[in-house]
Amino acid sequence: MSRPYLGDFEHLVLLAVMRLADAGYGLAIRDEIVRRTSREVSTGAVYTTLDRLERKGFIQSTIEQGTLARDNRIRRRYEITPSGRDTVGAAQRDIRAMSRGLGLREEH
Amino acid sequence: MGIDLEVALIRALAPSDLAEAIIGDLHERRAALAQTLGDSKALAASRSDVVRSLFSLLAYGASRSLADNWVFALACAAVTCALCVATIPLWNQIGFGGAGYHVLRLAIIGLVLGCIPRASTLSCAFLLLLIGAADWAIDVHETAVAWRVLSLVLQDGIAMGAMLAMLSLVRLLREPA
Repeated sequence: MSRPYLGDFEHLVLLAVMRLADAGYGLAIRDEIVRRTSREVSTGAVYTTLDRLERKGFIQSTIEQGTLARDNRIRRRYEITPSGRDTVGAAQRDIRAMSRGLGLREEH
Repeated sequence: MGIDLEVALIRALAPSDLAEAIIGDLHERRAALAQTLGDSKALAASRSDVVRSLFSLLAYGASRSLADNWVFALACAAVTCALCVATIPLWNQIGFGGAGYHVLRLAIIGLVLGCIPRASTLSCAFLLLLIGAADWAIDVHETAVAWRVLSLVLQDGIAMGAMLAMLSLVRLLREPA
């Protein structure tokens, strides 16, 4: 049976959602990725990826009321699902298995 | 003006269930940046974010619309195309068979399809494909040259596209910022 495919950016977004736990809002997810990877990430790319992941069943979102700072626009809070957690775990195992013995050093 | 232009762009391109959250994020981020960088830099950062978001929103919106609505859109286009082909002799008989009337009919079709939720742009795109195939099949003796069929499809596409663009503009102006 084939495992669900997880793209590079999807992988990063899922990890950010896991890291943020109860505070997995779109803006926070974007900032988390920018802060940790120094990648230039647009809000549009984050939301389209979040929506794709939700359709795959890896995350679920709840809609919350907006605040004054958001001009009273709604905000979406994302949480990882058990299926999403399993998929991230499997993707991480694949990366580790493929990297082993290559002499790659992790930067801190 | 400021953020209104960005809001309009996001509304036009993002799937409707994501647009409000994205616009909210833009406001929140801009407000936060304005406190540290000042208004003009915050506005520039916000604009840059929107510009970098445009392609992904456009591509994702189109792919999601295709995945969600293609059956419905294809059915709309097939029914419309069948009506168009069936009524060709009628228009000639009552004196409305000229190219100008044809363009006018396509514009009206664009307006009608544009008002159908879920499948407006997609059904027009499918309709253009079907019209191209029908043109080719019906007038194959006259339109053996591919560019003639293509030019007819392009003409029909412009007529319908203009109506879809006009409808989008009207919706944009009617929605509150």
